[in-house]
Amino acid sequence: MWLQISSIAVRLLRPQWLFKLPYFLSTLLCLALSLPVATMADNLRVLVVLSSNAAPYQAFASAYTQNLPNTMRVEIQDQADSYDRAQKFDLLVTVGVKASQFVATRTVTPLLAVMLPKRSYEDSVLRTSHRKEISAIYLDQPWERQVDLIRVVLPGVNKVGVLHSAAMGIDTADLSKALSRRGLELGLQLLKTPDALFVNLDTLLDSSDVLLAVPDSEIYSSNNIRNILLTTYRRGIPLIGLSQAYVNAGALSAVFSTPEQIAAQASAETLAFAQTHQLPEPQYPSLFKVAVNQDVARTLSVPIQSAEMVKLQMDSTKGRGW
Amino acid sequence: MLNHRHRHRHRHYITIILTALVSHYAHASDEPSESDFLQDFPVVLTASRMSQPLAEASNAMTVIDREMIKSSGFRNVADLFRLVPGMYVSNYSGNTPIVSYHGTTDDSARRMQVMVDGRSIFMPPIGAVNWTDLPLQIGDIERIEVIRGPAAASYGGNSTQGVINIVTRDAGDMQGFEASVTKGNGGINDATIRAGKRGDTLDYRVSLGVHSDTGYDANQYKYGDNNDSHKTRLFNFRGNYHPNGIDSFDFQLGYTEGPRGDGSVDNSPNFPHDRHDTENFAQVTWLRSLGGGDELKLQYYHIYQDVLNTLEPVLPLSDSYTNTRDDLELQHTIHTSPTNRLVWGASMRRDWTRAPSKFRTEQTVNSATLFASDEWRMTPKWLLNTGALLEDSGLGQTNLSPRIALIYKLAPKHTLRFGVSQAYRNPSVYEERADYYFPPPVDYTFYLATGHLRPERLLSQEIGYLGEFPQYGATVDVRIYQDQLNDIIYETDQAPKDFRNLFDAQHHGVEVTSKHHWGSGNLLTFNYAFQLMSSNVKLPYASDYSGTMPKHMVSALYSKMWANNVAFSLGYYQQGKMLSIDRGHTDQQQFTRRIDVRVSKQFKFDRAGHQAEIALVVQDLSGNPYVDYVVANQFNRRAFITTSVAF
Repeated sequence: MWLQISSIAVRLLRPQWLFKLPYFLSTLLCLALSLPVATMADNLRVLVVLSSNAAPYQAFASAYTQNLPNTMRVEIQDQADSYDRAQKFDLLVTVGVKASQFVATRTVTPLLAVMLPKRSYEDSVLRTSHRKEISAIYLDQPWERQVDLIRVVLPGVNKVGVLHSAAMGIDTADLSKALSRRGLELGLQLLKTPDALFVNLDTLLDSSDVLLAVPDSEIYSSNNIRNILLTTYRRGIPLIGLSQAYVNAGALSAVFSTPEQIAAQASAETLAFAQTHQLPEPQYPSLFKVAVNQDVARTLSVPIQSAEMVKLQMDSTKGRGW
Repeated sequence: MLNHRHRHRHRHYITIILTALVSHYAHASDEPSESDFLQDFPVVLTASRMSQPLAEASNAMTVIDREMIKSSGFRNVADLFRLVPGMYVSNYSGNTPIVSYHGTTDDSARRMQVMVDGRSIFMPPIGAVNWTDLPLQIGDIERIEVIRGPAAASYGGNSTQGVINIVTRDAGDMQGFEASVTKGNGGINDATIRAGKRGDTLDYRVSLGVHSDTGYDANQYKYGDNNDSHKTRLFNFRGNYHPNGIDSFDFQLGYTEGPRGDGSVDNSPNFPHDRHDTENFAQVTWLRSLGGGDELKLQYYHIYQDVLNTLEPVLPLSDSYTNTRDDLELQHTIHTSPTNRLVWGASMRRDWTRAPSKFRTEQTVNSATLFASDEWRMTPKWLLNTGALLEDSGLGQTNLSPRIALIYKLAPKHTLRFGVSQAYRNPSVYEERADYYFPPPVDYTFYLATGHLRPERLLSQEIGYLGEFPQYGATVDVRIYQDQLNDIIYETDQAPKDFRNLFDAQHHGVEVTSKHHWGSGNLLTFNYAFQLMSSNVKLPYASDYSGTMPKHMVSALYSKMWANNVAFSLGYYQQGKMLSIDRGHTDQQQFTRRIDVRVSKQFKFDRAGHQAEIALVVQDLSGNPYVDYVVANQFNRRAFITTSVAF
């Protein structure tokens, strides 16, 4: 920085400086604009705490650091439980439920929790934390966005089936509202016991046009997914999943945000924090991707466009506002 | 390509390891965690687990699903094919059904490939299907796909006039118990118990059953005698072991056994008696998902058939036989690009027969095939299906059966299909080597084959249209075809009879299927087939070829479900006049109409909400008897009640 300013002073002493006036003015303008942010960003100390060194967390960490200026001090810690509160940071970014829970109870440093479901954030991070500056970027998608996806890929359906267990406490009232705003009806089936999974699923599918997966490990586990998909397929009912993995397995489509997309949002919030020392309200991911299983679409006779086209249509729906 | 494949596999292993890592950090199950979004899953719906959409199939295809099977009220598997346009279903006797497509029908229809879960069941020595002995309960069927037209490239040899592809319920399709009992006139007495369990890595289902009736014995218009009752005891097991995300092993076992009435008073030396049939099979299929929708399938099966048929115990005179089949097939599905899918593979088969009355020595036939078919989406509107099968019959014939079908999407819900294919039917070992002889005191040779036959050749051309009209809840499927059959193998006149390539034939016609659903729970399936047949040769000892199949055939199935769980369905089956090629004028089948009705009521039979159902089926409601294949087979009204429970 000092080097840059002193070189400008040297230039001012030379007679030909008048010819370079425009260049000089623009350099000055740039400096004027970047100086405070750069200075604050340079001073900002950020610690990223990952829940583990698993690939999705690592992907977040590397995209997050790449999006920030090189000069910012960003440290990555890939084991949540080795977090040491003695070290001083201006901002903590915790990735995943485990890291967020662990860190939230141990410090009052401003905290941005990312890549965790909204409910986990509200129940086990927000409640246990006693600080003012805390926010989140959720991993789950807003209901409206999922409803939009259903509307675009399956314009003919009416009844959206959701199988859920009591423990997971899915916000069914909000989902029902989001669906009815778009002319859809919610069919709910509560999983009474784990043994009743397929009986309950059959009952639900009797009156559903599409099954919408919800984050519920009692239902959508890697052990159950096989028979869930085979059952829905036999009934000719498409499944809307929660990730690319669901679509690879045989779900018709899914809307989701990648660790890289969440990292882009988190780094933007970090830059803003550097200036204002304030975090925005907790948010759903602003960037998202759509995946479509064309083979499943064809065999279920669902006329469907490419994932890119579906995404474009969803974006245009959003433009009209919901 | 190899590198590409390798990378896929690596990625797969990595994701599985990652899953384990992520789920290791999964939180207490009372709240969602990121692992709900980040966990990896096995590829469940792979190409071989999905059915091809009708609009993209390279042939015309009829699908009979579980709902239709139930609504039809049929209790015999063979009867279900009445719901396929152009398919002829009849009975040589009460325990010997005949299913054939597009004529050249005699008592052992053998110009179709018939498969159950990929297991080919047209069996040596004749190459016919023994429907009654098949270890398959109608309630275990998930769906039936009937390919109308030659499809050797996809289904192997013998797929000349069509392919019946029966898919049974998945191992993990049921959880709990089901039991049902059926009782009715004509000695109808069936019972089934079924149990199934889904597990984390192992699913299985087991069924046990008995199926019996007295055939045409209940004939009120007695014509001669009908010794054609049967009692079949069945057992089936299907298990699926899926230890990880990429491999699954499917195991199947099946067994049937029981007495069948055979012979008649005027058919020396085959006088009325009981024969005893036993059949079993074991099948194992390894399916490996290779990522990106690619997969590898390795399948082995063994079929054993034994017919203990003692015509005259004192002499003794025996027409017994034993067959086995061992078949190994490897199939590889590759997406060579996002718009191209290639399926290729090879198979080896060993058929063995010991039938002392039909052959002097044991017969072993080792056959092999190499096949490939390709589906190329040239543009969103054009799809090209090509394929070929190279086969060595093991009896001296080597054939190449190519196929090409071009599919054009006129509009999103309207498709046109143009197809040309050539297929071969190899002579059966019986046609090639029969020496059907009974020793003294009969001392008579019925058949003596001289062999060196050419395979029958079929060249088929077709234009198909498939349209969906969602505003009317309707779909329409039309097929216009022209088939040229050459070198048809048929028996000679004088005893001992021989088999020779005796004549050529032309078939052309139209087949229409429409499905219509309306209101609350009304569904109507309608099939119509029109067929003209001609031949260059008139065999003096066979019936006129042009009349060996009905010109017009209609079948329709209407079903209605009411909110109070009462279901009603009505089947209508109409068949024009015909005389089968191997029958005399007395066996003329007149224009027939048959109406079947099924009424059922489902209810909860206990507080836990377990379901029960009681159903009444009446076949041939009008009560007017009609002739089935042979004049002695007069089908009268049959009524039966089925009670079933599930818990």
